[in-house]
Amino acid sequence: MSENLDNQNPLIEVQDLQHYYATKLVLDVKSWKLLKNEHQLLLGPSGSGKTTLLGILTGLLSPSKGSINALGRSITDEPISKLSSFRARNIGFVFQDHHLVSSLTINENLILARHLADLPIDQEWADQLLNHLGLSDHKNAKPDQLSHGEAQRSAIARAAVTKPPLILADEPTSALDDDNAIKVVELLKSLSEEAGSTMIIASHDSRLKPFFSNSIILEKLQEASS
Amino acid sequence: MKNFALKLTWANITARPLPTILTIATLAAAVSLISIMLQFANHADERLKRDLAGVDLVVSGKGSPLQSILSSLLHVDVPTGNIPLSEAQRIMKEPMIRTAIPLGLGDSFRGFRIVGTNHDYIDLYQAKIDQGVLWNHPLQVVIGSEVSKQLNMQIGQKFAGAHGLSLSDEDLHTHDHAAYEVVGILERQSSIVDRLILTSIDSVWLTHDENALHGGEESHDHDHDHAAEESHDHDHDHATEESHDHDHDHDHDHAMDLSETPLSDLKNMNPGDKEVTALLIKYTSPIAAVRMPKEINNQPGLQAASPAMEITRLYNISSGLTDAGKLLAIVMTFIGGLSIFVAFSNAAVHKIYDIALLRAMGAKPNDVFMLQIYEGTIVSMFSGIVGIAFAHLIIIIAASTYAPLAVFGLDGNVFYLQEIYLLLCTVLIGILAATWPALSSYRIDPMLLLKGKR
Repeated sequence: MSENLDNQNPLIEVQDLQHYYATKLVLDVKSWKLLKNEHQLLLGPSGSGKTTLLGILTGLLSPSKGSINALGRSITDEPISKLSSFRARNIGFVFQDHHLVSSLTINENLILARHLADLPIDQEWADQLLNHLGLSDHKNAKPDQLSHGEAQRSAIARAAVTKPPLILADEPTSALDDDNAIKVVELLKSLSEEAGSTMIIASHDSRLKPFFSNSIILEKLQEASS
Repeated sequence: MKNFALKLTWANITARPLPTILTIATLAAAVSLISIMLQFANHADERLKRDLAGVDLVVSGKGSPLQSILSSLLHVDVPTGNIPLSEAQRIMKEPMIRTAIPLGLGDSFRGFRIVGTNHDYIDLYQAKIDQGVLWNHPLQVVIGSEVSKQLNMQIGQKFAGAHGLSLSDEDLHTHDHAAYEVVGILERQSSIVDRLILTSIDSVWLTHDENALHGGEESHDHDHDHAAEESHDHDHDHATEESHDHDHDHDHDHAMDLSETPLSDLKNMNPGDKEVTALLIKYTSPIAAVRMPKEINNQPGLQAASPAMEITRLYNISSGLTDAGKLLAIVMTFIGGLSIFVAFSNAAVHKIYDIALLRAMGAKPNDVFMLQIYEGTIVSMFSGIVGIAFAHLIIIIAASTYAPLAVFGLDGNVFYLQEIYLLLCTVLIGILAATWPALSSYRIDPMLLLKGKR
């Protein structure tokens, strides 16, 4: 794994992290730090443990070994069941599929994210985001009324609407051509800056490497190293 | 999350209109059926209590005790036979008896029964005069509210009663020689009294004894037992109402003025060979219930029937039907609950990514569990309300179009406490049916969003 070792204000600090599925080692990170407001690319082929690492960073998965200090909190010392609020307040997700709540409008999806984070509705900020992403006209549309690109931009808006300290994007460009992949990455970067968020993009897409000054590369399976 | 939960629940419900409507319709149909049964059962119970009016014993001629109760209290069957007035007077004077109300039955007017009795009958049913006065002379009648409404009868109107208890007067012999006059109309009180034409026993005797009215004029050849007959052939064919200037085969003298004639003191008058149909008795003490029926039943030609016992017997006879209805209601409710379960289980499969997303975004397992429970609660509550409202609407419509239901007095405008319990039970069923899908939601691993595509 290549790394940026700026010791100032680490937002996330990982030490000796390992995870096994049964007896198979799928993730092995000796040491890694992510600084505040930094944008990092987590690059690796399929099966290299990207998804596992994202799951552990977000408190959805408990590692077999090692420690993670995220946002001043040792999340590996806490049971997963206690990390729901941590996720809601601190992490904005962009999934490979847009994964918007199908029964709600785009605006309601944004409001839901703030409700889950226990934050008051900030319609002005939500409107600003939707406007920035060219979705103002689709504010009251249901997800199934949007194109794939519009749905993905809506998911990006939702990730930023709580102004989370950390935005995680999982394979956001995997199904896009070069032009659209570049647009999405630029959008994510600009929006995370606007929201004051640190960002990690996990991808197997090496086209993204030139857009990040810092990237970590995960190798496949047991060969993974820091 | 909590303050957004209802909005999200409602969005989930309305996002799938067809399955939601089908689920609501299935459960609402079951609730409707139960509500209709509850309304029938409750109304029948209340109506029966009102119509039985706390009468302890019915004394009549020998026959079926149940028939005696049905004819004398509920007015749905023909009387068993008459009892001599002399016997009735002896019973009326018994110290163990608080009230003994005589009845003279056997005549009707256009399907409504004419009941000869005294004013105690009005007190027995706590009936009140709405217009006019009570009868104070022979051939004066007071009519129930339903009689007035259905026959459009007013104070001062005259009519001739028909011999027998058929719904139509067409095949009945009419007592045209003795026209009744309406002197009072009772307030509606949702009991059998609404459908009765009340008069004095003297009136009944007079209408069946033409000589009494016409001063011994030519004798009539039909000396019938008016109380026990349903109808009989007769060669009269007279107009039966109001006007008295009709042609008549017998050229009767209608000039006899009864407006000053006092009513007979039934208890103390010379009984002669006069008869009454039945006596409605209330005891002074419960001890009478042990002695009186036995004593009366030992008399030749007399029968004592206890309304409480006979109605219990009637319930026992009809218990098979009631049980079948209950079973049907249980099956329908089970199907309704099952439909919620199936609908919610299917919906939970479709919503798996939505739920995983909510969990990934920070919703607690309890939150997504409760979302399903809220959904079950709302759908079942809505089904319950729709079902009960629909049941009442059906009865309201049926009561206005189907005469027997109107006669029964069920109008769909009364809500019963059991219907609140029915609503609560429906909600409980909805919650129970939603519990398994809710548990499935509770167990969804949000990692599936990261692991794979839809």
